[in-house]
Amino acid sequence: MKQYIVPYPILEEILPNGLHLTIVQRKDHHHMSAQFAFPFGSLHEAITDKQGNRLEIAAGTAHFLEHQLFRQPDGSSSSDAFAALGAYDNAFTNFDHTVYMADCSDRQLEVLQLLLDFTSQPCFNKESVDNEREIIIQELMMYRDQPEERLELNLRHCLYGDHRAGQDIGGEPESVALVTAELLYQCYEAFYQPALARLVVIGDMDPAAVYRMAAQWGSGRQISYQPVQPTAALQSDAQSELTLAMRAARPLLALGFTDDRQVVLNGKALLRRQLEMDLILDIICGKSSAIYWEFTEKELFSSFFSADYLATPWFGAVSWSADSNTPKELQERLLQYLRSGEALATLTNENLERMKKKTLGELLGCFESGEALAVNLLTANLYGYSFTDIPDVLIEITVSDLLCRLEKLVETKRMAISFIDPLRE
Amino acid sequence: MILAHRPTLQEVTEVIPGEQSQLMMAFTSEVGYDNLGSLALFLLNGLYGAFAHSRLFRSVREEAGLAYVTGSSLDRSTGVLTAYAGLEAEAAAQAGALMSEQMQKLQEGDFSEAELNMTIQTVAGQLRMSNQEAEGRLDYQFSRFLKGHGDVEQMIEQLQSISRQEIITAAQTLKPHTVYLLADREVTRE
Repeated sequence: MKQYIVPYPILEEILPNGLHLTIVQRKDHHHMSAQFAFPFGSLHEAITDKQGNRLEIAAGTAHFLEHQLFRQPDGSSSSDAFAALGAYDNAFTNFDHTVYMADCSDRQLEVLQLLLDFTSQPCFNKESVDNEREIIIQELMMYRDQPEERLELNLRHCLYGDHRAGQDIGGEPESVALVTAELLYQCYEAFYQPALARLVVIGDMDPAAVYRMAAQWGSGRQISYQPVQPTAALQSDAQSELTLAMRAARPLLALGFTDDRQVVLNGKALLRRQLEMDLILDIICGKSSAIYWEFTEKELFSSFFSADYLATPWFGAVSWSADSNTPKELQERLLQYLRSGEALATLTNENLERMKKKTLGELLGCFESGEALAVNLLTANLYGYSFTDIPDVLIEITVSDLLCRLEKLVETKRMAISFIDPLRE
Repeated sequence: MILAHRPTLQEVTEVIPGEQSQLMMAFTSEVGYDNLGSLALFLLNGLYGAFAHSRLFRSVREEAGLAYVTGSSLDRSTGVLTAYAGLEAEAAAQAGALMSEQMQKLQEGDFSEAELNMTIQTVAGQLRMSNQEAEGRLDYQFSRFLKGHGDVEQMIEQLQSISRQEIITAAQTLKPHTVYLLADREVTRE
């Protein structure tokens, strides 16, 4: 980001305990945002013990562990301790990582210490695991009642079948039934090692103090289990269309393609793929595109039409989704647009330069919000590139890169369609 | 507009097929923005269900394991406080009983200094954090001019000055108005 103004220096260190620490000191900002991440997500299917024996992990275990880590030895929740300091805490689990977050305005080092403490004190037992399972099943049911969630999940299921990429991050009631306190301890040992941890802290505090605190994390830890990396989902082998009838306001359509990668993508290669795909989607069907206005004028969608590229090292998929009273017409016109050369024709130098500026503007805009900046820094760190690589890689991208990428994308053999059909009364 | 109390509790159940049922319990206070009790009611909602340290999250979710989403919200323009939970239809009666029980305890003044402190600290933290972002500050300033209250620090001071008795008095203004269950299947009520 040399040629652009970075308002605050970004300090990056690998501490003696192996923890990757990123600090952005902001003296003018009375808000601390801390994100603490571990590379354990729904794609992870196994760990190994000291003898190298493979232990299978039930779908949804990473998310289950995230829930249970909040339980303290005395039965209370860590959230209470954050509340007493006026801090806000939360967590989420993704395909390949789990993130614990804390935000506050005052007593920043105390709040950070709390984040470090509660993530280093697992306390699982049969009673708490059984109780949490009921809560998690209600969480899964909540998402099952949300039409847009089902639309997206069904699309991924069509694209990736029984691979974990095609399943709910939280698992299924049947899979979370297999999670035990013992399994959670084993996974904690494997995935919550200091050397795998990534901590991003943005706030008005002394970097040296943060360094000292983070360097203590996980000291003296016994590690008897090791993670097994997820398997890549490189091609589609499942059904290509799925329709679900459920309660919904109007019909929904999602159309997607797995990307054409042949290998696991990491670091700058993954960043470049993400930037290329985001630029393509912005140019060919963003709100400033002709096709977006055509869909609007013909009323082919009702309240939203959006495109998204889901990028992880192990799989990548592009998808378009919309609510539409005429989903078949929308599907046909969209496919025609993507395949006829109309979409390719929008990939001009002028459009590319404009979207690059938009991307850079958004990147600088994330310095406005501690949380957005923390997310960007953490994603970069987890996927093995640096935040400051983003503008450098962005600038290198050419129109011919985009043309080549889009041509390879829209192949029928990697396509899937998901519909939500509202139940009639 | 302030919603008036009902002489008797209204119970409504509707069935729409799905995977989960939604329970809501609304209380009327007849207390509006301009009423001095409104801020006390706001803190009461914090003790009852607005946060992860609140009673509903602790009892309905953490202890009974009945719901993932549960809490309460206060609409200060109508004076209505609504408790909610997403759960299995069969668990609605038990969750409803917990909602009533926790409300009754607060009305009797059965809450600790620690709980009150967590609530005030959380609200203060949220106000100060959102005041650091341009959008949050704009929002606050807009409502400040609209409603005539002080700046963020003055607001925090005002919240800190509210006594236990004022919160109990505010809690006692709340009367059950409606219990609504959107069931995902037919259930027989006890």
